Amino acid sequence: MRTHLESILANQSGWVELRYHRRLLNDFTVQKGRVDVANSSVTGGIGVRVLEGGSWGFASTTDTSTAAIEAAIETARANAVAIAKIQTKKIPDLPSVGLAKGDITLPGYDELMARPLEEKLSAMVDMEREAAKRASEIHTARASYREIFEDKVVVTTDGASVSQKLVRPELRLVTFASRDGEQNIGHTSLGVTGGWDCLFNHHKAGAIIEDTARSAVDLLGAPHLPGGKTTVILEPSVVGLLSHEAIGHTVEADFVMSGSVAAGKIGHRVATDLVTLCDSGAAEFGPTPGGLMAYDDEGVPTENTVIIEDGIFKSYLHNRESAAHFGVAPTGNARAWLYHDEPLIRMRNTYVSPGETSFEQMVETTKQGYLLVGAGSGQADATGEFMFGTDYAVEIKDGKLGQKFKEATISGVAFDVLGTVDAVSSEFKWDLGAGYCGKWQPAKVDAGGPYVRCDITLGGRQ
Amino acid sequence: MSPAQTESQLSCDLLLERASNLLREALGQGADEAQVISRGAEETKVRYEKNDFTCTSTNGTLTLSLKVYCKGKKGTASTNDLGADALKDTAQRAIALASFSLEDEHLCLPADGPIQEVPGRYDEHLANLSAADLHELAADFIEVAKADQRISLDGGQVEVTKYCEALVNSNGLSRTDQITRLDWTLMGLGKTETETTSFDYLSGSSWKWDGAAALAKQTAEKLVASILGSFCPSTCASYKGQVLLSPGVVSSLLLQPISYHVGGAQLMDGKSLWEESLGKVVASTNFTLVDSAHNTDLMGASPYDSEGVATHPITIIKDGVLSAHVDSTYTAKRRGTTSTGHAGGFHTLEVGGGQATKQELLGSPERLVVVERFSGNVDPLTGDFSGIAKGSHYYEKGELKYALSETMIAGNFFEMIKSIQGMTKNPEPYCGQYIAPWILVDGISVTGTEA
Repeated sequence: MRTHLESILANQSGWVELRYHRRLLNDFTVQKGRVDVANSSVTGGIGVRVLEGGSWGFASTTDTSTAAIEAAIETARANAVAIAKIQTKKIPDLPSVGLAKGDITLPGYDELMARPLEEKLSAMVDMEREAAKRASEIHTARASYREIFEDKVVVTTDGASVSQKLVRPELRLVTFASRDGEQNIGHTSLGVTGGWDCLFNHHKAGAIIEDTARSAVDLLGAPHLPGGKTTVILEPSVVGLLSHEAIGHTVEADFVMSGSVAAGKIGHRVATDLVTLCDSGAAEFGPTPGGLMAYDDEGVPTENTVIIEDGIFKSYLHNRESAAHFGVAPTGNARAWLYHDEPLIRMRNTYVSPGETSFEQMVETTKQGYLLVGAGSGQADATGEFMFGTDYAVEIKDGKLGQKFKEATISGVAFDVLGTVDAVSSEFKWDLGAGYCGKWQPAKVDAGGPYVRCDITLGGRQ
Repeated sequence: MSPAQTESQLSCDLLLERASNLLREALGQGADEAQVISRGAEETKVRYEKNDFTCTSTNGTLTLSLKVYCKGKKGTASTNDLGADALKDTAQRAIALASFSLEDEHLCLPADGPIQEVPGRYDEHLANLSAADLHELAADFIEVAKADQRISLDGGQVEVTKYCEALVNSNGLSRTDQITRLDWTLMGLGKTETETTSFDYLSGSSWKWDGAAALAKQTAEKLVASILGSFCPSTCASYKGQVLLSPGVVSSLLLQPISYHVGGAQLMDGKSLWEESLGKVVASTNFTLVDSAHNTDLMGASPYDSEGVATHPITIIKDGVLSAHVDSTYTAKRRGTTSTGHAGGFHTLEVGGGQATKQELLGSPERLVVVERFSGNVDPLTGDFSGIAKGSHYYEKGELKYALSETMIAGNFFEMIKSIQGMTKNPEPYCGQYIAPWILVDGISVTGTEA
């Protein structure tokens, strides 16, 4: 495919990008002893992007023949000419950069492709059965497995020519418990970039059945949190969500150019000096995060982008266009969900670097507060104001963990919260690998970090 | 649709032929029963980002989705490759998955039956819209939003799409449908030298070209008014009491949990708290909810559901009393009832109006948070919700005090739906998805950052 696309571009003038993308997605869900989902879907095609006269044009085709791709290029060119009439600023020439060449297959792809689907479904049948009988209060369990095989080729007229194969498996277990008319849900999800063993070596996989069952049952009868501002210790998944939602989105360069709160912050202190926050295409501090990739969808090699270093703001996240605007090197953050999506600036694996305190020391030195456990869904604002849910909270009183509380939604203003961080633990975990980020189109991302202590607002009951 | 696009190749006849071919292939390979859905779309999209138009894109997609039952076991597969080999491979994959799936005696496909057409969802003009017309509408739409210099637009999109669909199954059921739609979305924030507001977004849709520009303009004007009303925010003191929910928030906090608890999938698994509630009071007596199914004011209007069963209007809650559960063919068989045409969910949900004007609802409480948008989490099972009141405002005795920031609300759906104090007379559509009034509820915890 790479040679085929190169030969087509050899006859094209101007800047043209051809991106072949074939996705194989296999999906299983087992619930209450039945198979609700046993699905295999294949989606493939070629996305064509041109930069013509300072304007982008995009088209796609599912037909990989030379004639169909050339027709799509012409459609994209016509689209660029059309948008130029209402566009006010021209897109600058893309910066010269060391674009990727060659073929790469990330670990796990071949192994997982070869592993029989029957074995994968069977594992979910066993997991659901085990979870359902783990406690008398559990009336329903649901086990899901998904694997996404990505085959991509990016070829551009200015030198990118690379193919990349990777696979991202995910595992989800949900338990539903009831007692005296009250219901509660426990859930655990995990995801990696890698093979079957890699998935089941994830730090949450070993005790997934016990932990998921227990979290559903333990919160039956638990009280709601009181609302208000308080000291909290965020566990790694919550730190990852904070890094992604509250900081990561505001530093995406397209959002910065629209006026996000991060605009003009480079070089300024935005956090205590305990905070170093990054976004990386590689596996930093821990193995195989769910947003791993060697190259982005513009053929730019990914890197570890330091966003905040020792509390000082250092960098935005860039594609080639925004890098040209800011006069910096692209950071490898251009990503597209499917062949018919245009690459946008997206995060990969976003994290806070570990510190030196242990989790136990953090708890022992907290007089009054809560440990917040399990990242839910979240949203952030241009102002840096964020909200996200956590699974539950554990009260900390005089340095000891105590009672569990349900429904812990938290909010704050990102840089204000980072300014209250007074402890960062040495433990590090990737913990959002089953997650998807939404920004016009989905993206597989991961996030994580150590335990972090800070002040935050709890959206509890009055 | 695009400058270089040739005449549309997409048609229901083409999709029906492809779907029938795959159905034959699956049955020929040994499936006992099968269903194929073939969906095609041709779309042209104009994107706005970073305060400028950034790209026009043209895409054509066609997907074939197969479901097979073999010896009481299910497998599904899909492809967007229409070659003969790909069809064969798709059938093989679905049948292979079924071969090692678990047996389920309730698996079934619907029989054919009459359906009622839902006209007004296809517009020839929109199906053949020129690029010039699309760009002109997009430019006018953005111009309205950008008229005030304090508005910064992070993103926007105007998209015209022609959809065709064919659905066939081995019981002889055969359906085709085609629609056109124009969708527009804007996301923006307010920005001055000293202040950045919360972002806000709004979207709208139309089945047809006539009148679409005026509707898009209204969306832009509404968004601008909302953003400009967000400057100089403050946070109120915490309290437990009344809040006024916008139609958009009604959809998040009321309609989503209702959809969960009346759905056959939850009912059959014991996950609904309304399993024994048919004929019983579940809401305030002024609350009525209908799935009108065919109301083309909303974009979910459809003559049949995702397995081809005819849709029809159904009252879910009448004057506070639960009137119906909803089912697909499968959940109906498991529960010993009949399908209500809800495979794939609800179609066009409408909450009935009340007696009050919005001004009257604003004027009654001593203190009141008016929640314009809810950014938070709703646990449909327990009904607990908690999140930020975005783009919202604080009133005292009917007088606007200030816009809100850093203010959270929390409560429980089951308690809230029984605490409705009043509703506006004229329900409003929200983003083409629901119709609902403004609803005043009690017992909500409001948490500000001030004591």
